[in-house]
Amino acid sequence: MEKENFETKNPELIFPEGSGLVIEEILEKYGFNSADAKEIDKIMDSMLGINRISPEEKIKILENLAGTKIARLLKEYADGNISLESIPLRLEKELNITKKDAAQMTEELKERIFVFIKPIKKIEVPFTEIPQTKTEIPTFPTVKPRISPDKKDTYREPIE
Amino acid sequence: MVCYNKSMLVQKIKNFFFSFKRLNKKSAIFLLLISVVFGLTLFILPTNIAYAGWDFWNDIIDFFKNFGESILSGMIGVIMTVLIAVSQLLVILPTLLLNWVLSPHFISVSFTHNDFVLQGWQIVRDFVNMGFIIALVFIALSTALRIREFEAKKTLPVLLIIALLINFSPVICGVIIDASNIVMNHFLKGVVGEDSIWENLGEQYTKLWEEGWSEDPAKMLAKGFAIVMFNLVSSIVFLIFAFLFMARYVILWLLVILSPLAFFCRILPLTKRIWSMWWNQFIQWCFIGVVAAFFLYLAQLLLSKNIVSEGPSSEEIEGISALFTYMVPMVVLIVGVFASFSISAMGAGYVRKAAMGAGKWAGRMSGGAVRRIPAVSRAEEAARRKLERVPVLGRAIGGPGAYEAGRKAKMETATKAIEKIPDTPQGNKDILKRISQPALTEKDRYARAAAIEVLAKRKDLTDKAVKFIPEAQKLEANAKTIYQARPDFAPHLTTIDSVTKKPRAMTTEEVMGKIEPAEFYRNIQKEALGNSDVVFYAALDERKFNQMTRHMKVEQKREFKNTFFSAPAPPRPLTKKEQAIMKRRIKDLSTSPEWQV
Repeated sequence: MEKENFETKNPELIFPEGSGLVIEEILEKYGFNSADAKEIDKIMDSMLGINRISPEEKIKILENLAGTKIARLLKEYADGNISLESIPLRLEKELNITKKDAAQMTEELKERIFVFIKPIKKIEVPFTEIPQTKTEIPTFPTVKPRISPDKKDTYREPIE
Repeated sequence: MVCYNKSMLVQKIKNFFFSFKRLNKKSAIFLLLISVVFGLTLFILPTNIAYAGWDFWNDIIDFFKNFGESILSGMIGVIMTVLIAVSQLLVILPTLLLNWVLSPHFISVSFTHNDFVLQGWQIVRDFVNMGFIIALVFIALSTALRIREFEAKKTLPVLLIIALLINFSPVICGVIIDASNIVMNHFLKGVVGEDSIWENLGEQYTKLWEEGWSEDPAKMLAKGFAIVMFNLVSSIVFLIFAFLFMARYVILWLLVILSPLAFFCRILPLTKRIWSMWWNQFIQWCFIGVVAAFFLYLAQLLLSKNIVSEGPSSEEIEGISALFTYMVPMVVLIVGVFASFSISAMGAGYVRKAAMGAGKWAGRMSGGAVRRIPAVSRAEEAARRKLERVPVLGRAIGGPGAYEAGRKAKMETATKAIEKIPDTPQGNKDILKRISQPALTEKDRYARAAAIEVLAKRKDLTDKAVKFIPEAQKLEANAKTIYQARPDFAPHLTTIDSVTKKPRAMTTEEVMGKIEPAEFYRNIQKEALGNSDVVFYAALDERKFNQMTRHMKVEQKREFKNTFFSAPAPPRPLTKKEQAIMKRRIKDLSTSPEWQV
């Protein structure tokens, strides 16, 4: 059996204790908690056998919760995938809130969580666009001719 | 029967003393004088017994003394005679059986040159000769394909030597068997000869018969008890030895028949293990007889020389020496049995069990006298555990807890050997192979149990090991290490129920309760987090969940999350409080950045 590498991308990554509770408090302030609670009840009912939801659907519900979206932003920031400056825009688009609310929310998150996180690398370029899809399109290297232009290609037919 | 209460008794005593008032003075003085003289006779006379003038009183005292002793000795003598007779009946059959098995009349044919062995050996040899062609092709292909392990350079010389030796395998086996038989017969001569163990026993019985009535009751009791114990233990031991010597003949024949195949297996590295197994078994079965014969010889020597009673004796020591005359040879016989079986020859365990079974049957047939001895009516483990608690025997085999300590020591040695294999994917693969290989000897079983423990420590214990977990636990493999890595294996582990005091399977909930939160995330194997019960009980425990949130690795978290959401239903109905906890966990999995994996 192959031994898997369990190490995280950022070995020093430690979020301040109770980050989840801070997010919950902020969400409550902006009125997201009741919506999230309803969705969580759906998952819970399925666990108790009251309704039937497939595991994939449960994960989907979880992913769409406001709390999950904020927590993921924190994780992405800590992993060095996004900059602090790009967070208001992400919040605005993902939670569908006003610019003002997004800025305020970011400020609160910054004060209570972000300041304690040491990201892997600092991203200088501000984030401008939300990626449409998570799948990364691999970039292929441009194929260069093997023979340098100054050398004569002996196998090439002369153009008449 | 007349019953007196306390007040009535007091009245009676008062009446007795007040009746003296009715006597006249002369009669009273006469009665007093008689009492004083009688009292002095009783208390002073025994100390001045040598005085010639007191012979008459001496005779009277001696008469009463001897009369009491004679009645007591007589009663003990009768009881002991009956007990000894019963126990002697039990020892006769095993003794005769052992005498017959050890005698040259039992099997007069040779170990290697008899019709049965020769015909069997020829069939196997012809079969192996065909195998040589296949081996040659295999070596040729390996050489062509450059598989270094089987290259001609390495394997061809061995093949040629073995091809020659196979034809001489009965001779080689014969030499080793003869060597062991020479040593064995040297000891057995003393055991079955003129001064045999049963002749000595017979002499001791006769002595007891002749001297028994005149001896001190305490000495008689001690000697009688020792003889009964010796008879019971020796009947079992002789039966075991008889079965062992019988099995030795048959197994050595079979091993000689299989010798060409074993020699052939020596050629290729792949089959070398079969050769070593055969070789070990052959040597062990040859020399198991030597060990058994040696201890039988020692026991016989102790009985014939009567070592303890020959020393300086006093009244007090004599009683104990009578006990030791039988106890010491008995201990030697028991040690002999364990020493013979510690050689761990394959099948020796079955011989012992068969002898124990026969002992049990014999006990039932003789009115259940033997049934009271734990060693007869129980299997090896229970018997040993009980024997450990017996004062004299227990010490001989290491005292209470020796059986468990012995197993722990064996387990420790096996674990150390397995731990030498490097903790790499390939190393762990090799360890896993050991688990799936058949365990034929006790050593193999310990190696398998150790392999399970080591893989659990290395968090690489796969489902392949599941069926061997009960055996590993029996052989003292650390159950905690196993369930810490794989709590999902809990139903394969056993525990003693606190209420019924009987063994029962453990539950996942139980083992999850035993694992400390800090130990959980450190030792849990990723595969265990694929079990919905494990994930459920981990989620219910807030401390465990918090530790997991802070410290668990990404891959493990991913597995936990997947199982958490794909579990069809909790293992048991949830209480209101538990429902609230589970809801909290869903929230935690949503809002904790650590769980965004």
